[in-house]
Amino acid sequence: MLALAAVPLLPCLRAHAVPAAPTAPAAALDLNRFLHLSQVLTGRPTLDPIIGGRALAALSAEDRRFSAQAGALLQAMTAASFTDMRTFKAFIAGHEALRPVALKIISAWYLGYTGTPAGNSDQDDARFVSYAGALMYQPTIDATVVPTYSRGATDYWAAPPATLATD
Amino acid sequence: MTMQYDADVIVVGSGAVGSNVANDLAARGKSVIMLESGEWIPRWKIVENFRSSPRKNNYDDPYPNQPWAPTSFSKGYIENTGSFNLLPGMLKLVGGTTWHWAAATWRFIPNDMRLKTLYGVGRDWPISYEELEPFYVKAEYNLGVCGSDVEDQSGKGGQVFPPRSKPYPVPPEAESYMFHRLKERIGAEGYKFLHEPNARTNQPWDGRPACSGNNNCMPVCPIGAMYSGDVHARHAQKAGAKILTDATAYKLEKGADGKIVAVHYRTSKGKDVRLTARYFVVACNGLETPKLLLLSEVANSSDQVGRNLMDHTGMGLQFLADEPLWPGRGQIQQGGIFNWRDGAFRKKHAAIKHAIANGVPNRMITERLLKQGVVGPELDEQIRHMSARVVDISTTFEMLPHASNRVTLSTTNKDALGIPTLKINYDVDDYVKAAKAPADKDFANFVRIMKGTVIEDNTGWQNRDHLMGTVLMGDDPKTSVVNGEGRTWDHKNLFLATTGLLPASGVVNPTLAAVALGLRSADIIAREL
Repeated sequence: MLALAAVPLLPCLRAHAVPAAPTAPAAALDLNRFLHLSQVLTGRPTLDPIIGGRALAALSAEDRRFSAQAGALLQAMTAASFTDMRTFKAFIAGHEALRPVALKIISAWYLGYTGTPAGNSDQDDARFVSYAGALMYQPTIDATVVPTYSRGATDYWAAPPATLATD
Repeated sequence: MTMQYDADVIVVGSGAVGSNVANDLAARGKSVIMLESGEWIPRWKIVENFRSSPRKNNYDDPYPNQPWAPTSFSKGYIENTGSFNLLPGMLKLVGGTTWHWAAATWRFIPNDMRLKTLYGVGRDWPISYEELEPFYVKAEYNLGVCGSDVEDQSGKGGQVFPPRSKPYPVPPEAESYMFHRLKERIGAEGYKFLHEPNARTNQPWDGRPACSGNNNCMPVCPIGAMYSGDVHARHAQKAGAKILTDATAYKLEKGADGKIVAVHYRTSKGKDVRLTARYFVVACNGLETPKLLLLSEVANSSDQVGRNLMDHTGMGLQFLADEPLWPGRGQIQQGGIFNWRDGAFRKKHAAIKHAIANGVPNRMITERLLKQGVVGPELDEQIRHMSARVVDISTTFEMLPHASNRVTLSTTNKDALGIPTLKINYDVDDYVKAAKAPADKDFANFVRIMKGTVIEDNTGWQNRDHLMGTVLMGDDPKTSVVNGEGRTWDHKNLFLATTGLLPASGVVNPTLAAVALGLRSADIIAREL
């Protein structure tokens, strides 16, 4: 339809070519709504939007249904005025089909990757989300390091963490 | 008429062993060329690759993995035909696989070297502890090893052992709180805890900084406190050795008199180069060294090349202790329990080492909790509670040499250079299987003493990435590949320098011994040149 001989075409467009259909549907869930959903699921009042962007991209690339499912989860939470993860068990019991996507989102933020990383192969579907920002390190950050980010001097490890008595 | 050579010595492989050999010879004024399949990669790049990797459980991942210089995890590179999937994480870059080791640097004790004579199983080393001892000293000072000058490393709680002609260059690092508490409680029932001598210096050494507890020895120390082979690759280069990268050796060429006259290597562009030398040292790790010999059809009148493959096949235990111990502070391992290092029991079953892992456990704990569907505030609480208490024991066993445990050339697969890849056949033997029961008994004791809750106590057999036996030493050319000097029986000017030399595995990490043996070979070569 664009192939008018008199009009110079961009080098990447051929006169007879039809752009291929995208392999994944356009994201129904934008970053802001994904962040809001993530904040509820992880119990964090704010989350890093750059990490959120990576998590959303990774989860969307991994599964074409992700966007729709996450949207449905957000909708269900809004409808139920659900905000307190301490009652997640009761809430999700009424929406079992949405449990996997909820766990996928929580995993992406906590572990800092999506998919299943292979320990001894160069083939897997893992995608990077975050490392130092992975939420799994936060509960212990006073006592242990995120590996490669030492905060102490040689032999600091001889002493236990200051919180030992109440740990 | 005098021959012209490209070098006095060509060393194939720039890992810890090859680089120490090359440096030693170059420092003595010999002309040395080193051949390395991979490239020079600066540490900061590996650290960035690690930090941005989604697969932190994969120690090869931060490292270059090219079709012409693949890591061992490259699809199809290693094919296993036995009942155990032997799949060590091996690298191809300047400095080799010690980039991602844990730097455990033990000496084998005299009884480890006389397994056949004392216990009637396996094979003896063809040299004595006394003959190797001065080279252990050299290796320890080269690597900046820290260790205890008072402990009995045979695990019997006696006087300092084995005998040393010089103290360790660096004293041990401080005990972590966790190690101290485990020693207090489990040690009280007679379990012998030992500091693991290691090359993660805790004082500045040879331009390396002191360890500050980044807790990432595997797969990369961000500051280079932990030794890796590139240290001596740089030293070798400064001493005058020439390091050729993107140079994969594929053939050792035999001359008319049975000597090796040349090595052929191929570049990633497909260019083939032939280099000559008076002496050749193949230091390509326990899998690639036999591979080069098999490709070249050299050094194998014994038919032992590639055979007798031994790993310290292992198994693991994870449990939650009843008190916070806080693993993850300091280095990723510090020592272990050695009651079963040596004794008459070795007539019946393998020696056993229980190593105490000290990695930050958050990923393992959180993956577990998420699989169980734990979310919300409870997830954060449990991450902290469990991470503080988890005890992770990594147990290793002594394997015996068997001709059927072997590495050969693949007949169905080649790499991008047209060189056959690896085929391994490995079965765990009865000697190891007989040691499982006493190891399980120890596991039950550890859990009982620490009033623990088991997370996992039946892992099955595990890789430990210690590749021994594949070009073993001996005193009989009919049953071994090299003699006690590391010199191949079949070719007077061909030496091998790798953990593959070891004819008896003992139960400790073998790299220091391979460096010591290599330095001894370098000494012999230097005298003959």
